[in-house]
Amino acid sequence: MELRAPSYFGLAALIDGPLHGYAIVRRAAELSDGAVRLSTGTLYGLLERALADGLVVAGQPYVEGGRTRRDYALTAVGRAMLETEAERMAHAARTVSRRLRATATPSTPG
Amino acid sequence: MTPDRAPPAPDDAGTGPTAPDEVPAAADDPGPTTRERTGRFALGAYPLDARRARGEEMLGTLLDASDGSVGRFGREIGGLVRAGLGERAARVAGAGARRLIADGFCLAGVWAMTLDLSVLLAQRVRGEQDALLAPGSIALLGLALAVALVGHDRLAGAGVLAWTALRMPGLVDHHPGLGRLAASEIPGLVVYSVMLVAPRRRRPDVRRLGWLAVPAALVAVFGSPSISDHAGPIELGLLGIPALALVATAAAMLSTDPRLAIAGAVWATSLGFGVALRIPRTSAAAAALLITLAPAVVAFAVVRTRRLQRRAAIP
Repeated sequence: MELRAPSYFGLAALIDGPLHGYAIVRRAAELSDGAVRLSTGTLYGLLERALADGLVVAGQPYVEGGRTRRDYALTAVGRAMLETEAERMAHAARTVSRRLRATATPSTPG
Repeated sequence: MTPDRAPPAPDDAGTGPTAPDEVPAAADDPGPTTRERTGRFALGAYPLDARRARGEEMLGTLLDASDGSVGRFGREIGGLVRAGLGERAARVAGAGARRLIADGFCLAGVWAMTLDLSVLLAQRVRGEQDALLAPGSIALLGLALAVALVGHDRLAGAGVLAWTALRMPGLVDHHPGLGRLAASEIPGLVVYSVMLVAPRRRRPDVRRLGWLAVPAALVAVFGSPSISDHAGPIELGLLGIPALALVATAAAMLSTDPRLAIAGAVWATSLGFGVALRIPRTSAAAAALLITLAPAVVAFAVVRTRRLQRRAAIP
């Protein structure tokens, strides 16, 4: 499965432990160096599909600071899927880097 | 497996640094209340069960994510409406294109029964005499409509097909020539047959009998003797305004739930055949446009439904 950046970083936000919706938004922004800013609609669409696919599980809702929250945790299946995706991207990056180095000449700009 | 609760963060349970545009609003800022109302309104784009299951949670996330930033709030609201409509569309598409098309045809059948019943009753109220206005015939149609409204399309389809067969001798007298008879009756036979063969899967609900108010209102307006010659602006408005509202609604819902548009397009195509047979060549372009509407809307619904079904995986 090839994930787009919002889905990849949204799920990766849960690697360190369960988080609620807003915490996932912030963690995904951190992990992507600000490149991914999940909107609420995108986040819950992702979580809904991830729940259906068994990639994450949801806890019971609770109230914190006047907000209704629910924590989401990565499952073993979700972690394995992220590992596969990370390895796929790393392999792609290595392949391209190797080719760039192999074809580099002194006159190549940059 | 139930996850442990996430540890609360120092100030607002979030993690990581606070971006400059996410500074919490002042305590006396009336914004949050307005924002909360706006957020709840935007959540209306989601299906009811989704709102019940996670609406409050989404609202909390939305308010936190956009706190202090008007621009972010606007984008969040826009994103929420798009996502909610997308979820509705995905659920509808989950039924499959064939089911949606059949549902649209069944709906067109109910509309056909409603209008037929209204016209026949109005003619009878105006005192017109005709074999097609026999009380037993009208009662059978009314009963079939009531059964369809409650949620038994198959039984209603069988009833209305029987009703059509029983009045066929009278219809032959009214429509000299096979072409006009076919143009008048074949659309009805098609949609009623779909009701019989592929009925909608709905839980029976007698409260839907309230829709009988529609034919009752039409009879109240068009049963007046003064209508027999020509309809006035009020009568035309009573028909035209709801019809325009229906067209606008069907067009707006086309990409989310095409069933209303399919029902309307079936009607338009049926009307196009009628126009082509009854009105001179000057209307040929209009008739052709109307005739192509049902195939066009059905084709759109098939393509759109398949695309939505493919999108079911995590992007």
